[in-house]
Amino acid sequence: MSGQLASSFAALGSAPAVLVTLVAELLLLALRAWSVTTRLVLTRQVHLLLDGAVIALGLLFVLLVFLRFVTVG
Amino acid sequence: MDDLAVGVKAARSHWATALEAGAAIAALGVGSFVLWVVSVRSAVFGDMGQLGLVSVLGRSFFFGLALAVLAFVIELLRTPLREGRLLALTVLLVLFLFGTACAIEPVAALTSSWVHAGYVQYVFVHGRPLENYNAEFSWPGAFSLGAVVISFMGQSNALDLLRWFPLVIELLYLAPLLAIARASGVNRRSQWLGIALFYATNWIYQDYFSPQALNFLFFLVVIAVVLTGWSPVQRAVAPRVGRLRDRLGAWRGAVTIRRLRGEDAATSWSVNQVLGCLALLSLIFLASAVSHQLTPYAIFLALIACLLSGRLGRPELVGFVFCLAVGWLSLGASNFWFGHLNLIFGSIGQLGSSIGQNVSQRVTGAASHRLIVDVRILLTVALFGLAVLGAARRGATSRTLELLVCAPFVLFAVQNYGGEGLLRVVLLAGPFAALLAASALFPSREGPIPPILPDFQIRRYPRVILATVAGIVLFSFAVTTMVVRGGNDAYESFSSGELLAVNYAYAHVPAGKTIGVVAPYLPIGQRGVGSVTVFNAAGSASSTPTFNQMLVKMVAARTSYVVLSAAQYEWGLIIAGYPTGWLHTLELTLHHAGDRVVARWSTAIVMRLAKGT
Repeated sequence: MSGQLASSFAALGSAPAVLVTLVAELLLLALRAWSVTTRLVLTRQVHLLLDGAVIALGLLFVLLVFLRFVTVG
Repeated sequence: MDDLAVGVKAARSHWATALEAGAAIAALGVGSFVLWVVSVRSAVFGDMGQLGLVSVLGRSFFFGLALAVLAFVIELLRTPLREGRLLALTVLLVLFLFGTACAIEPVAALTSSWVHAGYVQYVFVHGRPLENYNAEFSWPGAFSLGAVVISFMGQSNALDLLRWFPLVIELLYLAPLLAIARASGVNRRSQWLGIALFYATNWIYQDYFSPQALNFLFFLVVIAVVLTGWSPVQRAVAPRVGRLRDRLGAWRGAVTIRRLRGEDAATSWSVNQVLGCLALLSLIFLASAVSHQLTPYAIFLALIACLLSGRLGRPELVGFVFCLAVGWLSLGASNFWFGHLNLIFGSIGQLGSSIGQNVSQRVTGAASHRLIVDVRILLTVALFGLAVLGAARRGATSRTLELLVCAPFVLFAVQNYGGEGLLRVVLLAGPFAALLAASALFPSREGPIPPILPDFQIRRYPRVILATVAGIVLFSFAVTTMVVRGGNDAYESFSSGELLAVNYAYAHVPAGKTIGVVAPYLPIGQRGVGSVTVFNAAGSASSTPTFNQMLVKMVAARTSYVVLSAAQYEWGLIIAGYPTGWLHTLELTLHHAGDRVVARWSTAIVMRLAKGT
């Protein structure tokens, strides 16, 4: 599945790739909001990992949406 | 004993004065309401002239409005503030400004509200939006909600909701506006005056039955929750921001990692309250993302403004609304942008062209219409000018309001929104600009951010002078808004005869056929979505055909039915510059081309293409 999604620019710009990234990003954002609000005790490394993943996935999401506009639109 | 008697006498005198003042304000309010009822009952819709709604309003209306403003201003300057009375007087003001057209006009104004009722009807009947129909159906959330609501109500369509929708939605805005005002950091008098000023300057007719009206409510609720939930962290030592250099340094400090992580905002809510609000906000983001093209991005920018000013403790919300909005655009609204991406990205950075489309192209038509448009521009400039003065006069704990005013203008630089971008931006910035404008009169001088302008004291009769100035400003804005808000009603409001004519055409036109109109100024579109086409000879607003071009287009279209009406006639006179009596000429031309009048009302006729022609 992941191989098919990443097989070409067109595949990267396809609806499933964008959708998967979107859902993953939303889940990570929700996880971060929940963990900070409930003052969950996390190590600095985990905090950094979470922030890094949110930023990386966010950038990937923007990139995939851009590819979708270019390849499909 | 004597002291006690004097004390009792003084207390009685105080209460008597308070009661007298309260009774006077109540009398003013009741008198104002009675005058509104009288003016609405005596207004004759059929007498409407080129200046629109204001042309059928008598002196009693403006006298009643003056009484309402007077009562509001007197109550505003009393100590202590009586919030219940101010609320009642604000509701009265809203009734004057937004209920008058609903009460006078026999059917709902604006073609778009009828078209949206048609979309709701389609979703209600088919259970889904119509694919590849138009841009609005790519964001069908509000229409789906409308279908659910009419289903709950046991209705078969949304037509009963249209007429009073503007008044109802404006009253719904009041609750989040109150919350925003209370959490905004301006003083109590500025809060109430700011809300009144927002209503008194809201000439932008975006409160009709539409997704944008609903989404403006979402926008206000989101900002209200954020401002109420989080406040800036008070530092032990406040930074010095007296000099310009210090002020610039303070602005640089707004973009720190700490602030971007939301650590400069604190909340007094419990963990469960915060989690509940986050869940609620996420639902609102989702609802907004699937129901309107522009508002989710306005929320996104407003949340960034709150984050940068230390009023948002959960930056994830910014990412959440962005992902949902872009995700829906990319996946759910792909029918909209397939093949014409320039609709989305074509106007990025073309500020000159956007201003041309949004401002100069609207200053056209007859002198009455140009006057209305000019006054609208002046009213907007006056509000934002007062807001600048208020921002300079007030002391504050944060500059959130100023950033919230500026944030929507980023949208305008990116997307002109078919020539309506500036209208939407002004509407989205309006509540915050109004609170700042109120601060020009009643500035709060406290807070770690000192005022830019020095304070000036009114030495004699300060209360009377402030009341007079506030009253004049509020009344001037309210009257101006009444004039310009209904300024297009000569062709955007409709008679019962026009609705009957449209219903006749819908009842007789076969599926797959077309109804022809000169311009889209009719209560049309509420039926036959996807099965009956409406041909509009005027085309887009930016390229109005000449009278001869329009005649040729109407004859060549060979539509099954043609509906001609008084509203279209007024449009031809006011906007298109057609000659007096042009509708009769068109009727004769269509008659020669084979159309026959099959139904006639005093304000509309229906023509049918004769068989064999």
